[in-house]
Formats: sequence, structure tokens, C-alpha cells
Amino acid sequence: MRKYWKTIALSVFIVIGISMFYINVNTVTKEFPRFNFKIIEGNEEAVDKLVINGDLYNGMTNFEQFRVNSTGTTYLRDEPFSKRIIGYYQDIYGEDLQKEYRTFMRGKSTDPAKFYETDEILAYAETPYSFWSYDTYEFEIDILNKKTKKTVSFSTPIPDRANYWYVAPYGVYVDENEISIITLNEQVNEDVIENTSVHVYTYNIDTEQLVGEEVIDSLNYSSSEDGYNDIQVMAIDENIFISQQKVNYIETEDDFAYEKVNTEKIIHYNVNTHTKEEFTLPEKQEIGMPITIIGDELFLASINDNKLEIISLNLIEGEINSQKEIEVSNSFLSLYDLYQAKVKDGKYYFIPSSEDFNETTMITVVDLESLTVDYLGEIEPVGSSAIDEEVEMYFSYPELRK
Amino acid sequence: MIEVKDITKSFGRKRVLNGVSFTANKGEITCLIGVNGVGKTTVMNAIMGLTPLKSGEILIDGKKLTKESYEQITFIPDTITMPPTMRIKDAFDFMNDFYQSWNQKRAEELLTFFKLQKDDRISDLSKGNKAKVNLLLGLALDVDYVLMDEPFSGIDIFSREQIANVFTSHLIEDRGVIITTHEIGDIEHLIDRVVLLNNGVVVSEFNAEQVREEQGKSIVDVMREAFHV
Amino acid sequence: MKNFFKLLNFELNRFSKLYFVLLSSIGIIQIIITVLKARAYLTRANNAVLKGGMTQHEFIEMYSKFSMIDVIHSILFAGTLAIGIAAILFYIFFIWYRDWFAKNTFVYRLLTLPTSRMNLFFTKVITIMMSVLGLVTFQLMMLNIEKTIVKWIIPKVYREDLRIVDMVSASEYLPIILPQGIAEFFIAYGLGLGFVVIVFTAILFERSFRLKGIIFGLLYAFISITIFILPITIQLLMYENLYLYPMELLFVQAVTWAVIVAASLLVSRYLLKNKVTV
Repeated sequence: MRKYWKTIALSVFIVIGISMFYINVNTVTKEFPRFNFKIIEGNEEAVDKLVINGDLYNGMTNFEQFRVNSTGTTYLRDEPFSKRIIGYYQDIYGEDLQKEYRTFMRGKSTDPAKFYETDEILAYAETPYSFWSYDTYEFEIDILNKKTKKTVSFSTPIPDRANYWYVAPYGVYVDENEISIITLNEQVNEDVIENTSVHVYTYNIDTEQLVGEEVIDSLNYSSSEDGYNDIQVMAIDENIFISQQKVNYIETEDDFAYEKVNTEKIIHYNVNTHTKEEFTLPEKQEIGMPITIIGDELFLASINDNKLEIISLNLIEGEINSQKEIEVSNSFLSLYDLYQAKVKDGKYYFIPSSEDFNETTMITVVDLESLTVDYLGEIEPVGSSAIDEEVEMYFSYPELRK
Repeated sequence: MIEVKDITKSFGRKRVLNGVSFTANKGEITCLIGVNGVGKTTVMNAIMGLTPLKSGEILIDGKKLTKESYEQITFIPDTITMPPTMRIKDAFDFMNDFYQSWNQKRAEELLTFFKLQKDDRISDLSKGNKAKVNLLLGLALDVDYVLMDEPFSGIDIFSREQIANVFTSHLIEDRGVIITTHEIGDIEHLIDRVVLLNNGVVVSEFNAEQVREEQGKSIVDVMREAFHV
Repeated sequence: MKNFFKLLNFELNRFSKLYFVLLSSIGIIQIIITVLKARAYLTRANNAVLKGGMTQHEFIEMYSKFSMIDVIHSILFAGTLAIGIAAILFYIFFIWYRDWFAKNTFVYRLLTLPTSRMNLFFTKVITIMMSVLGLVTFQLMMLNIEKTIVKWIIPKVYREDLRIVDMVSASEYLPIILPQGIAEFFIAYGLGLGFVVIVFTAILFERSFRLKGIIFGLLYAFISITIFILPITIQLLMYENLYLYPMELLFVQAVTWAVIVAASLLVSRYLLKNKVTV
């Protein structure tokens, strides 16, 4: 046995050393901050499906991803290997689709704008990159019949592709045997994106032939010291709403600049009837950016002086129906917080990515139809898990489970 | 009996063995002689499975070489087969660890015979003593066949005497020995069979004593005729 | 099996002196780096606070606190890791060639041991793997020691104490040898093992066919590695969004790995048994 002491010593050294390290690795999140949703007022069930993604920067040493939901906090590193294998949290929308339609979802993006789902079908349209040129030339179309489990798939060249610098789908709609793809087509001039136009391409699913192409709207980009303009597409079933915004840089008294958005034009297009109408917007009043449409009511949101403002606009009359200002106690609110807010089942979930660590981040859920606050709460640190000065944290974006 | 049957071997385009066949019996000393060097060592390596052959086969007591054969046959090459940092006693331990046929008693006996010290480090030994250690490690195995490659080359006269004495001792008896050597004088009277190799072929294979008695020739005489020197 | 452990023990013992020298040099250099870095920081802090009139708080604001990261991020520290890696890479070749070269041709003995020649192969593989793991464990131990040294030199006000886990993830290189998860650890060392087995096979090609063997060996290694990275490469090149789900790809890679390692072992066995020459 004496002869073997070096081998035995080395083996024991390795086993103990490596085991101790991995025991430490597995318990490392014990010292990380944890959070709960703390209700201030309203209906606690409103946040049952809410998941908030967060990033923790531990000094300069490391970066941890976590998720907070109504039951508490989970760090990515504590998830099973199968979940952390990709190195980040898979988006919940994509995760649900991949779980339910595993085969259909192979090789597909999980961007909700590229899907159209009913009880009968799940349709997908994308402009995939071609391998050799690393550019997009074709529409890839796949339609799953949920009952028969059969998939119709075809690829077809994007019409007049050479005229555009870039073509990207922003919505999909299927009616009977026709699929419509709503795209933004960008044109460049001397390497600057100059113009973008909203196109609707309609294909016959059986013949795989293009049966219609329409340009609904277009925008010439402009930007200056004061701000820039932007276009947004909202596809809700056969209804497509295109809105053009002007984003202005606003400087506050203490030289802090933020962006303020105002919608200047809204077009409604019905894919089935091919009809287009432009709405009249209230004059001399800033209305923010569209978030969703329920019936004839268009909802818009904006941030004014650290208040979240939601407006309901009657599209037929072109008048503001109601208006609600909600106090959000977080000191930094940005346009970005509006972009990442979520709408589901008539509820608007607004969670800013707070950058001030002396305050807790607010959760605001607004019932849109009644324009009342359904839930008001905060993301509250649990127990003594005080965040020390070396730790930086961001709540990046909220998601909603099915 | 070791049977070498029609073996062929090339290094690149150069053919070093071209259908070599001979046999070596247990209880006999067979001497492989050739003027130019290459072929002999290759034959030894081939018997030990240390170099692949182009064709032909080698049987040891009728069987092909397997890992078990190494308890039955051993090779003493002309370089030492142990790491130089080892002490002689470590080499003994190593051999004892891996060979069932290792005979510790005989090893000790050889140590005394060669006047070597157990604590000596191999790298510190003289060339002659290294050769002795090499010989010792091979001969302390209770094996049927011993292959020796140039056991006398480059060794001082006293060591040579000592090594030659081994051949007349009980350490060799009953074993089959294949030896290659230039220094035939040291052991000529002990050799039973001779295999003469030239240009990769066996030019002559004979019983030394028979040739001596019947034709009155020494091995060197036969060599002279065969190699046309 | 008994012979295998004896051989393994023998191989490890042969490496032990060199290994000890390697570990001690890495250890000593790292301690020197730690002491120098810590003292330089303290000198700067003392100069600024005692002579320059800065408050401790201002100094920390400006230069931040001292932590093991300052040591780990230094080029010299990375250098010590490079020494370790270079030594192991060198040893992957040396572990075979030293038995052939020099005046003492131990290979005669090794190849004529009454045990399977694959035992030689396996013991050399395990020796390499254990040397690597030993080095990694040693680095963990050194981090602990260096952490203590920092505690001795730098007063608490100027010091940020880190866990070993944080030191590892803060480094650019350490997460490669110590991934942040046990599954990832096995994947990393599985890859390492595959690499060693392929290189060993290439070496045996050279040892069997010499000059021609170098070409065979390089070709063999190239083909093996190409086949191994094929599934993931196809996946990444052909599909913007992965066709195989991550766990499926992992499974495919694991099977590919197993096939390549098995093939390498079979080829090595054939070469060792039939082709290798002294």
C-alpha cells in the first residue's frame, strides 16, 4: 500500500477539492438577493401568470440571470441542466410552443410576430437567412393543422426582393386557404435606411402562388437633434394597425434627457376586405404609443413626469374616451419601459427596469376596458438578502405564462 | 521450439528480411550471424512482436505470440529496458509486480554473481554494468526462451568474461537461447546451432558441433565460405 | 485490472517529480504575484491617504477596493495558467516518446509486459487526466492561500473578500477548466479526454509508420475532430434557429463523441498490437 501513496493522495486531493468547489457552486445563489411580489393594492391573482426577468451584476465578477414570479425567485444557475444549457432563459412564449408543438417548432424563431394561432391552426411565416449569402430571399411558410397534425410547408421568393435592403415579417394571418404576411420593407440610400413601407403579401396555400400584394403605408425616416420618427405594426387577427410616431428628446431641468413618444398617424387595414382607412386623431394633444385595440377602442400609453398615462381612443369618433394617470414611484422611467410592457387578456403589465437600487421596482397592472388599476405592487427583496453596494440589478422584461 | 517461417520485412523500399526461416530449440543456443547489421535485430523484434511483418509467421511452441507469451519468452536488447532514474531494487520491484515468472531468488543470485549493488541507480552504472543489469533482468525470469541482442557489444573485457560465464552456468541450462553477436570468439564453443543471414536471406543453417566434428571447420570458417570473404 | 493499477501507479510516480516541480513553480509565482499586487495597492493607498490628503472613501471611489480579481486579471497570473497548460500539452507527447527515445528504451519492457498493451494506453490517458485535474485542484487550493495572503496584507477597509466561486467566474480562463456546473464540468473533461485519446492515436500512427505515420496521424486527428464538430457546425451554419433542440444536439454530440472515442480506442488497439515498432 505504501507504494501507492502518491496515487491515492492525488486522487483524494482531486476528489475532495473538486467536490468542495462544486458544493460551493451549487450553494452560491443562497447569498444572492431574492424577491417576492408584494401587493400594495388590488387583485393578487393578476400577477399569477407574471414572470419578470432580471439580471444581477455582482461587482465586476459575474453576471447572473434570474426570474421572479408570484412564488419567488429562481436563478438560472439553479435550473436543471436542460434549461440552462442554452446559457439564458428561453422566452416563455417560445418555450410553451416548443413544448406543445415540438416537431413543428424545429428550426423556427419564437418571435410572436411570426405566428398566427387559432384553435385549429398554428401558422408561421419567416424570412430565413440563406446559408451562402447571409441574406433573406424567401418566405418560409408553415401551417400546422392542430387536429390532423399535418403541416403544409412551402418556400417562395419574396417578390421584388432586390428593391429592398431588408424584409422582415411583423404579422401573420390565415383566412381559409390564404395566408397573409405583413412585412416592413426597408430601403437604403447610401447605407442609410431611408424608407420603410408596410406590405401585405397574400399567398394561396394550396397553389403556393402569390394572390395579392399591397403597400399599406410608408415612412421616410428622419432624425434630428430634437428626435426621430418611427413606425409600428400591430396585427390583431385580420386587423392591422399601423401607427407612425414621433419620438422627441426632452431635456429636464437637471440636464437629464428622456424620450417622449407621440403617435401622429394611425391606419387600419382589414386583410379580409382589403380596405384601408386612416383615423383622425385628436389635435393638439399628445397621445403616446399604441399598446392594443379592444373593439373600437385603441389604447395608447405614454410616460409624463414619471407618471404612466393610458388613453383610450375611440377609433370611429376619433376622440379620447377616457384617460388615466398612474403614479409610478420609480425615479427612472423610459420609453424602453413602454416597449417592453405586455398586454394580455385586456390587461396591461407595466414593470420598469429600475436603475435606482434604493427603491423597489413597481408592478402596475391596468385593466384596460375599465381603465382601473387591477394590481399595484412592488418587487420586494425577501428577508435579509440586502443588496450590497457591489451588486447591480436590472429587471429586464416581463413575460406572461399561458 | 521457436519456428520462424518465411518472414519478410521491409523498411521503406529496402527489404531487410526476404523469406527468412529457421528454428531454435529449447536447451540449445542458436546464434544469428550476419555481416551487415539490420536483419538480425529485426528478427529478434519480430519474434517478440515488436515490429510488424510483411508476411510469414512465427510460432512459439506451436502457438502465435500473445501477451501470455511474455511469461515464456524474454528479450534482452542491447539497450537497457528500464527508466534510468530507477534503482536496481526498484527495477526488481517492477519486474516482480508484472511478471509471474520473476524469480527473486535467482535475481539476488545474479546480483551477487555480477557484483552489483541493489541501491545503485541505473543511470550511474558503467556501460558494462548496465549490460549486466539488462542481462540480469532477463535471466531472472523463469522463461523457456531468452533472446539476446549483441550482449557483448561495447563492453569491457572483464564484463565480457563475466557475461560469457553465464552461458556455462545453470542460469542458461534447459532454456532455448537465440543470440546475435559479432564477438563470436567469446562463446563459439558454446553455440549449438548457427543461422547465417546475408542480404535478408538465410544463407546457411547448421549444427556447429556437427560441422566441427564432421568437416573439421569452425563457425568462422563456414562464415568465411558463406559470405565469400 | 491489478496490472492496470500497478501501471497507473507507476506512470504517476514517474511523473511525480516533474509534476511537483511544476506545481511548486506555479504556486510560488502566484504567491509572488499576489504579494506584489497587494503591496503595490497598499502603497498607493497609503500614499494617497497619508500624503495626498485623500480620504479612504475617496480613494476607494477612485481606485475601488482590492480583491483577488486584481491578482487573477494580471497577465502574469494568466501566464502561470499557461505554464500549466503548456506543461500538460507537452506531457501528452512526452508520456509516449520518452519511452522510445534516449539511450534507455523502456518501450522494450513496456511492450513485452504480460498484460494487454491497451493497459499502457489507458494508464497514460488516466495519468494525463489526473495530472490536469490535480493541477486544477491545486489552483483552487492556491486561490484559497492567495486569498489569505491578501487578508494579511490589505486592511479590511480596502479589501473586497470574494468567494472562490466568484474568483473563478471573474477570470477569463478559469471557467474553462472549472465550469459553473457539474454537468458542464463533465462535458468539459469529456471533451478533454476525447482530445487526449485522439492525440494518442495520432502518436501511435507515428510510432507505427514513422514519417508516413505523421501524415496518417494528422489526417486521423483532423478527420476525427471534423466528424466530432460536424453536428454542431451543420446546426449552426444551416439553421438560424436550431433544428435540433439543445438537449437533442447534446445527445447527438455525446453519441458522436462516444463513436469517435471508441473508434480511436479500436484503432489504437490495432496499432499497439500489430503495427507499433520499437
